[in-house]
Order: sequence, then structure tokens, then C-alpha cells
Amino acid sequence: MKKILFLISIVIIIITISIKVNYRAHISLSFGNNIKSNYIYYYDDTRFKDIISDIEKNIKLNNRHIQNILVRADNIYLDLNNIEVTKNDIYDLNNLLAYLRSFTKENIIIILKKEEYSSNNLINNWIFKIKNKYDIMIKR
Amino acid sequence: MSDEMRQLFAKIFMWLFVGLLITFGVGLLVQSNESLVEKLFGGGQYLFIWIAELVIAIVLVTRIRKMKPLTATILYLFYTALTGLTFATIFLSYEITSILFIFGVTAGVMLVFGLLGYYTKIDLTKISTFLFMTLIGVIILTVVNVFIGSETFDLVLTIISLILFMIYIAYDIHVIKRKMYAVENEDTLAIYGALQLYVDFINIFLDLLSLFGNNRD
Repeated sequence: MKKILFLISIVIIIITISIKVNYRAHISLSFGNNIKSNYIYYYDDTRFKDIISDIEKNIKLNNRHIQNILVRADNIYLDLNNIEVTKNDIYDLNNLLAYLRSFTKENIIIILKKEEYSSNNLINNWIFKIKNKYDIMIKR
Repeated sequence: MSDEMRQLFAKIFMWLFVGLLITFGVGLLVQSNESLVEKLFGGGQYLFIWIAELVIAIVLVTRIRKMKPLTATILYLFYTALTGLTFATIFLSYEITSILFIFGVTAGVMLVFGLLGYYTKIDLTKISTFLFMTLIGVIILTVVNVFIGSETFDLVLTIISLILFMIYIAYDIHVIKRKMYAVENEDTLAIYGALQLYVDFINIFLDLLSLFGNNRD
């Protein structure tokens, strides 16, 4: 009887590995608190330090609006939660997304407020345009 | 806990409960039908069940990012039902009271470590590599032990596996809380979270059963 349990355990654990392996690839390792400027946060991962520093130098964002770029081990999060995005920002955001996509194939995930996503046509139109163009994921 | 988070966890635990109910329900149902057990486990048919389980698990985790909630739910439920088929042998091998007791203990373990994972101030995401490497180590050493056949080594591996999946529960809850899954739709995310916790639960259950379960004969 022990043998049956042993066999099932082996199969289950192989399945578990297949479930956990992808899971690991989809999440970050840690969350950095290192605040580099008023509006760009970055994950303390050496792979991304230069990139983030470059973004800070080259892409001027309206400091009233863009708050967070969270770069983690496997994903880049652009956090627009609690931020009112206006028409002027769309241009900057597009530049930023094009820039991010030009150097990385990592997931780019935009975090939005739920109500913002459903009620703001400006955001809806923008999301519609950029989603496939840059292979962006939206998280609400 | 915010309303949004409460809703997400309510969905995750609801699907986890449904998944476990299906697994144990199917297991009980199949073991009560002798001819079905014979058909499933008499030849090499169970290999197909295991392969199907593995394929569904891989499809779920690799495609879930863009999967519709309904598709993810169906696949998840199908996966738990297939696991239930393999669990029929457990019901044939162990006393039902023992199985129920260990199920309850596993649920208790899940509760304790889940709360730990939710409320801890420690950043558990830092140990993800360690957890995964230990998981790989456990499977490699388990296969090695097939050739060695040491019962003591088997006991040690079971205990390591048990501890590993207890930590995994805390880790999974911690990660869900911090919304670090790259899954777009909240309903799909709930299925994904439930799947992660489901495999933790099943592994702990099997380890506890191996350690403390009473055989039927």
C-alpha cells in the first residue's frame, strides 16, 4: 500500500514542479523601496539599474502624474493606480512604453484603478491602442 | 484587509474548496465501484491519467496569463477530477477515518501557515529560489531512493517535503496578497491562486498520510 502512495506522491510532485516553475517565472523576487526620484521607484536588481537610470535621464514625465515604475525580477510594472492620467500624459506614456519594449521582452504590466479603467474613455482608448502594439498587460 | 483583497481571497478559497471537494468526491466514488477501479488501475491506464494531469497542469500555468476565466475554471476543475481518479487508490489503501482526520489536520496547517504568510512583515519572496531548488532536490532524492530503498531516507524526505509545502503555503498567500502574479483577469487570478494552494494542500496531505495514515489491512 505504501508503494501506491509513493507512486502518487512522485506524480503529484512532478506536477507540482511544473506548476511552480512557471509560477516562479511570472513573479518577482523582491520589492525594492529604493526611491530614486519623485516619481520613479526601482527594484534593486542590478540588471535594471542602468535602464532605470537611463529612463530617468531621457524620458521626462510630468511629475504630477507618473508615480511608479516598479521593476522586478521578471516583470516591469507601470503603476498608474491613484493617478489621474490626462491627455498630456498619453504622449509621455507612449514614449515610455515604446522605450521599455525596445530593450526588454519581459512582461510590462500597467496597474490601473478599477473605476478609472471603466469610466475614463481617455484611458480606455489608450489601453485599446497600446495593448497589442506593445504586448502590455493591464491589471486592475 | 481591503474589500478587493477580501473578494480575491474569498474566490481563491472557494475554488480551492471546490477543487478539493471534487478530488475527494471523485476518489470516494471511484473506489466504491470495483469494476471501475479494475479498469482504471488494472492495466497501464493510470499512466494516461497521470500524463493528462501533467498536460493540463502545464497548459494551465503556461497559458493562464491570457486565458478566459471560464476556460481556466474548466481546466482547473478537470485537473482536480483527474487527481481524484488517482486518489481512489488512497481510499482503498487507508482507513476513511484516518483520511478524514489527516484532511482536517492539513486544513489546519493551511490555515496557520496561510495566516502567517498574510500577516508576516518578512519579505517571503526572497526565498522563492530556495523553495524551488528544495523542491527539485526532493524529487531527485526521491527518485534516487527508489534504487536505494531506504525507509529512513524516505522518512527524512517526507518530513522535508512536509516542511517545504508548509512554507510554500505562507509564500503563496504572501505573493497573492502582494498581487505579484502576472495574471490579468481577477477571476483567472483566483483560479491560478487556488491551483497553487491546491497543489500545496495535496502534497501536505500525502506527506501526512505517509507519516501518520492507518492502512486498511
